Amino acid sequence: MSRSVCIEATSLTKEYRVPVREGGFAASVRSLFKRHYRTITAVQDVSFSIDHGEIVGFLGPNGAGKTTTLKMLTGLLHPTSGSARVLGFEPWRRESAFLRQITLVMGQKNQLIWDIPAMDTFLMNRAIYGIPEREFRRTLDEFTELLDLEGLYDKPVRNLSLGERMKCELVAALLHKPRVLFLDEPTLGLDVTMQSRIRQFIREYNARFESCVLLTSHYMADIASLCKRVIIIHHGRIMFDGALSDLVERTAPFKLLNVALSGPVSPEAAAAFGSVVSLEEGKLVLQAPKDEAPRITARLLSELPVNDLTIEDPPVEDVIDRVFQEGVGRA
Amino acid sequence: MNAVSRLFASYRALFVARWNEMLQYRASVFIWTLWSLAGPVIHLSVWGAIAEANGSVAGWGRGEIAAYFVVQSIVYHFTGAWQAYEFGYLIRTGTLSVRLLKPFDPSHHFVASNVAFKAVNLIWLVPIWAGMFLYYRPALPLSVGRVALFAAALAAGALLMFLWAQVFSMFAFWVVRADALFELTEALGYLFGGGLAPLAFLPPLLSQIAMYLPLYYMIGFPIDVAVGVATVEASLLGIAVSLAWSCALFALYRVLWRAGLKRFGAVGA
Repeated sequence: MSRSVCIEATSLTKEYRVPVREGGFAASVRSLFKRHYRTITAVQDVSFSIDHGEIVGFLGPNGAGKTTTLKMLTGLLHPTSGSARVLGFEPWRRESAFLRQITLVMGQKNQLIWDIPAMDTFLMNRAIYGIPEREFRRTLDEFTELLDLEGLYDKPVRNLSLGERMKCELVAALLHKPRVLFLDEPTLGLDVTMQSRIRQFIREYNARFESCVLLTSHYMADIASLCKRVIIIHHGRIMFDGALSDLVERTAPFKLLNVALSGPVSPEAAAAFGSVVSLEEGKLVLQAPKDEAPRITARLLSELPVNDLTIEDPPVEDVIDRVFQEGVGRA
Repeated sequence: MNAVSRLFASYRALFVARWNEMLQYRASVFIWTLWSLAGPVIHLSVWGAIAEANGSVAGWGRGEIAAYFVVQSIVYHFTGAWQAYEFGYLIRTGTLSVRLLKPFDPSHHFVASNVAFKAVNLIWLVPIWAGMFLYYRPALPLSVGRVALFAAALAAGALLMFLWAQVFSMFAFWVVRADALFELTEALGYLFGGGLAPLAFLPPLLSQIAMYLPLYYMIGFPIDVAVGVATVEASLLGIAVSLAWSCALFALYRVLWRAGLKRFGAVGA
């Protein structure tokens, strides 16, 4: 089935001019009379397109340019050069019809009014987006059930736990049923159970409304669980854009063999099968080139006291880390 | 739902949210209100004492001076605008981003906050004002026409002050602590706007300068209308001048807003 393009970025570049000065009293006095500036290129020549219904992971280390790109695509920032279209709109024109169809969830920024119950913010959003009463109630009930939020809407936001607050933030951000979701670290600081609940919610929302999702997260479990495709940005430039499985294939052309041993094995004997990642308390982890994994597995089973054996791809965290360190295809 | 009814519904919801927010920290709101009354009461005491000692000040007796400062406490309340402080904070912390993502001009939040604050405060200000009228016995030329003119001058002054604060808010796009600039204008307003004393008390040159500045139309002018210093013709002309200033400030605010958005770095967001 062919899908239409939802987000299209073409050669987006964003430069900031920031004041700089050395530390110390003399430098601060000098800066009073003459300020020095440096131009920082946060995002350089970034191009990609995302179709309706896609969930794409947008990855990069801190300061790589992820959030700056998201801010341009949501219309918060004007780019220095380049162009972008989201749902056919130029984002930074901030047209009402555009803003009605998007949302940006920032894990470290609140839209809920801090001192009053979340319901007051929901009602405010209902009025701002012009959501009919019946539709508002139906959507709210649905989200309440999906996110297990029963009984939390009448407490001041400041009295909610971080996880409860984040879930309420999601409700506030999605009540108008946006077609495009920009999620910037939506699971930041949450425990594992809460992260999993929010991932499940995003997956169900995407499936239900055919929405387009661009997700940044430092938790690889979010990416592995939700995104078939990832875009990797580093130093403001796109390093990789493709299927997560391709990235793993290209960046880590090896498998991990996890072996549960029923008897003692010396490090020397283990090393004869491949590169030993770890060997302790009856557990051996070997790294083996992909094409040799079946042969080595057969040898392990016949030559070592094996209780159990599994073959896995390396953890996505390791793969991404290698990409940041060494680049795609060279790691 | 058409655009007008959506705007009305949005204002209603914003007002309710801000009202609820104010009531959450009503003790602080009450203290801020008392603080806003301190200036008029202190000035009334000082100028009133001078008038009693000398018979009058620039032809104003104690009753007129009492009228001026009692009305000033009302004018301060209704024309006050302070969003320059909040807007600077929103820019510095990047919180403005959250409001920019909505299909709703962020300035509406400031209008709703402003109105909600003033409405909440009326709960205790009305009895306080009643007490001030009984205690200070101001000499006010009360008539329906005068009250109507005062209400119009007050509304024009509130609009002008709001737009003045809005223009100075916009400087936060360029200057980290733009609220300091706004604070400076508040100090100027104290002298040229009729905060310290009626303009009639100032040297002629200063009062002449004041008449050409918008600051007078935010504070001193509505008071002059209420206490009868401004004739009906002068009141109508003053309201027209006040509205003209508002139009100019609104145009300037929109230009600065558009230019500022292009500069906005959304830092911290």
